Parts: sequence; C-alpha cells; structure tokens
Amino acid sequence: MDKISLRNRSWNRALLFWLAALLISLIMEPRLSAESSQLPKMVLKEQIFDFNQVYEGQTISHDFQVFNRGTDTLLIERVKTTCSCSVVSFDSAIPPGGQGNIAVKVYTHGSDGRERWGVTIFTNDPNWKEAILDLRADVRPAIVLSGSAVQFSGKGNVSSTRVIEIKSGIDRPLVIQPHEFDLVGKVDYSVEETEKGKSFRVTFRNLPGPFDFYRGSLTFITNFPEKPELTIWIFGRFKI
Amino acid sequence: MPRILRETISILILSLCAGLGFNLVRSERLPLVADWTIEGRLKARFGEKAVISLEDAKQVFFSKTLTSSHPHPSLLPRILRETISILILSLCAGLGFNLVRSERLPLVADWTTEGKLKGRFGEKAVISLEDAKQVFFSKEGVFLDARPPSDYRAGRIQGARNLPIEAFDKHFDKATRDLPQESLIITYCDGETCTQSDKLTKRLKEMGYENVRILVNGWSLWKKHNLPLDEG
Repeated sequence: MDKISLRNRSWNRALLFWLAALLISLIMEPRLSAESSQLPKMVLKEQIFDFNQVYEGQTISHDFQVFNRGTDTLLIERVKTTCSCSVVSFDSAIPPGGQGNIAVKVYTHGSDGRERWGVTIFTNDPNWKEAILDLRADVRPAIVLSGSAVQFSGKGNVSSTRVIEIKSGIDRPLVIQPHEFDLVGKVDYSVEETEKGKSFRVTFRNLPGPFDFYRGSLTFITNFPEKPELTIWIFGRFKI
Repeated sequence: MPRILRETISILILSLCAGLGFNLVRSERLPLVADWTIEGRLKARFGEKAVISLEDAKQVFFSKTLTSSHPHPSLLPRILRETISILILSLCAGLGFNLVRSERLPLVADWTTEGKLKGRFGEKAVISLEDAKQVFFSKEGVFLDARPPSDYRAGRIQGARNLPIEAFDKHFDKATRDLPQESLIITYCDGETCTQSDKLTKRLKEMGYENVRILVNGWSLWKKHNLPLDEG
C-alpha cells in the first residue's frame, strides 16, 4: 500500500468515526427523551430579558413564563435574588403541559449605565435544577449631577466656593425646590436656573469660623417621580 | 471564560457552520469525505488506473513495462485548507471587530471579578478573606453591608452596618456619621457577580472616603467559613 493511500484512508476513517458518533447520538437522543418524559421538564420562554432604556429610580417588572413539557408536576422549590430586585410572586407547582409565571421587580435606585440583575430559581427538574433569570437594562439618570458631594478644606477662616451643576436627563421640564439644609451658619448656598426647566447651578460657600470638621446635606424636592429627592452632601475639614 | 475568548470561539463556530452551510447550497458541492488530491480527483473522473507516477513513467520509459504504481506525495486535503482559511479569517474578523468597537477588550487582562474591580478602583480595591478576618478581629475597620435592609436583617457579618445602595442618601449619615474620612471601610454584598458593593464603594469615594475595600462575595464567603455573624 502506498503512502498517499494510507494517509487518505486514515483521514476517511477519522471522518467516518465522527459521522458514526453523530449518528449514534442522534439514535440515542429519542431514547433519552423517552426516559426523561416520565419526569418534569422545565422550558423557559426566555432566560434573558432586556428592558432597554430606563431611568434611574424607576421600578421595572417582568413576568418570566415557565412551561412544563414533562409528565410529572414541575415544582419551583425556591427563588433567590442577589440583586436590587425581588420576586413578587411565582407559581410553585406547574402541572404537566401547564404554564406558570415568575414575576420579578427590579429597583433601579443607585443604578447607572448598563446593568444586570440575576434571579436563581431552584426546581425539581433533574436536568435543570437551577436556572438563572437574567434581567438587563440601560439605566440613564433622570437627573444628572456634576457631583454628589462638595468638600471644603484648608484654613477655616478663609471662605471659598464650590459649584454643583444639576441637569435634567429626561426631555421634560425639571423643577427643583430646596427642602432641607442642616449646615446653616457654616455654609451658604444659592440656586440659579441656568436654562429654563433644564439646568441649575448650586453654589456653596463656606462661612469663616472656628470649625475643624462638619458634614451635612442639602436636599431638593423635584417634580420627577423617578427622582423625587436629590441630595448633595457637604463636608468641611479645616486646619485651625 | 474570558469574554474575548468566548466571542472568538463563537465566531469560529459560526464561521464553520457558515462554511458547511455554504457547501450545502453551492452548485459543485464538496463531499466531506473524499480524496482531495489531484490524483484522487483524476481517479474519480477517469478510473483507478488513470494516474501514473513519475517512477512508473520512468520505468515504462526505460523498460517498456508497468509493474507498480507510486503516486505523488499527497497535497493537503482541500477541505482542511479551506477550514483553516476560514478559521484564520474569523480570527482576523474577531480581532478587527474588537479594534473598532466602542468598548475595546484588551487582549491580555485579568478577567476575574477581583481583576475588574482593581482595574476600576485601583490595586488596593479588593481585600482577601484572610485580610478581612484580620481587620474584623483587630477592629481596625468597619464592615458596610450594601444589600437591601431585608437581607441585612436576615443575617450579616457581625457588627456590620447597613448602607443599601438603593437608599444611599437615606442611610449614609446614620451609617457613617462617626467614621472619619480616612477610616478603613470594607464593603460587601452577596454573590460573585453582585455589584452593590462596587456601587457603594464608588459612592463612598465620592464622599471623600478613600480607604474603601471590597470583599468580593463577602456574605457567602463569611458564612462558608463559619465566621461570626449577627442574625435578626
């Protein structure tokens, strides 16, 4: 036998072996299915749900649909969340051929940018005991702040200013109203509407005095239900 | 598995499927099992004895008889060559796509949760369980639980304070009023992929707390090692 024939034959053998393995797996598959048909079989309509664009502060919810394609009752034994979300309700027992829901609520407070939240469900399906439901969203700020805190430092008897810009992140007129301020006598502030309904400038000025350290906040009430309150923190650390 | 590796493998598999699919619909379909050498193709066209080797041809030339056949050394089978070409092209496409995408993925990087946090907050951003234990027993720092109050109430690292990121402004003052800005703070949440402690760290740094470290998967890890807990 010449070399080329041997090489071709070994190639052909490898490919034939691969095809045989594929054929065997295809023949075996219905048998495996037949065996598992005596058990619950969970099928999820979707495992990933994308809310796309939402605004920070919105509470968003989604119902995941669960189907039981087996012949025994599918039990959702427990659910676990490791995120800022909660499972509002879920159908704990789904009969064969039936359908159930897992309702999930996501709190977007404190979220920013592309976010993901996960919920793990534990079932009695021997082939899928744990499934992770994945929720995603692009969280945009309803109100954009140039900073959430101002820091004063240096000499306590020298006055200086710090500025925070506040802008609307939504295409709606923004109204802000100072609500609480707990540094009276230590810090002054003024609010200027730089663009009607769109942007504001808050200027803080520390008042000279024998202070070494203070902290406090200025809270605004807004007309945006997504962000009804807005807090700017103020810190002062001085050398006496 | 690193994202770039996953994306590259996906592209390679897709390309392979595309190649096989294209072969299914092309006019001159290439069989998957065949002799792709020139000799093989000539034999398939004209019969087994269609090809003569140079040796045999020389023998015929000198002796006028044909005794045996010795075909040429084989060429790389065409299907293998084509597959390799598709794989190389796919790799180039994946790398090219990465070059032009907005959030370019580095080819060499630490893709672990710790690695990503270090990239975001600096080398000292993450604290190991061993170091966190030391801080806990020496009382050198404070643990801040970034999970929602319901989870915190159900169980927490002993002495940890709750500062849920969802209600940061509401809880911040109570949780940190007695903590100077240079205090060592360890934040944690639950799960390898939980992001509440990262967000809390970011907010604390905005507030002027620079010495903040993250105990990745803190709650589960602390429980798993039977370390002191508070419940209720």
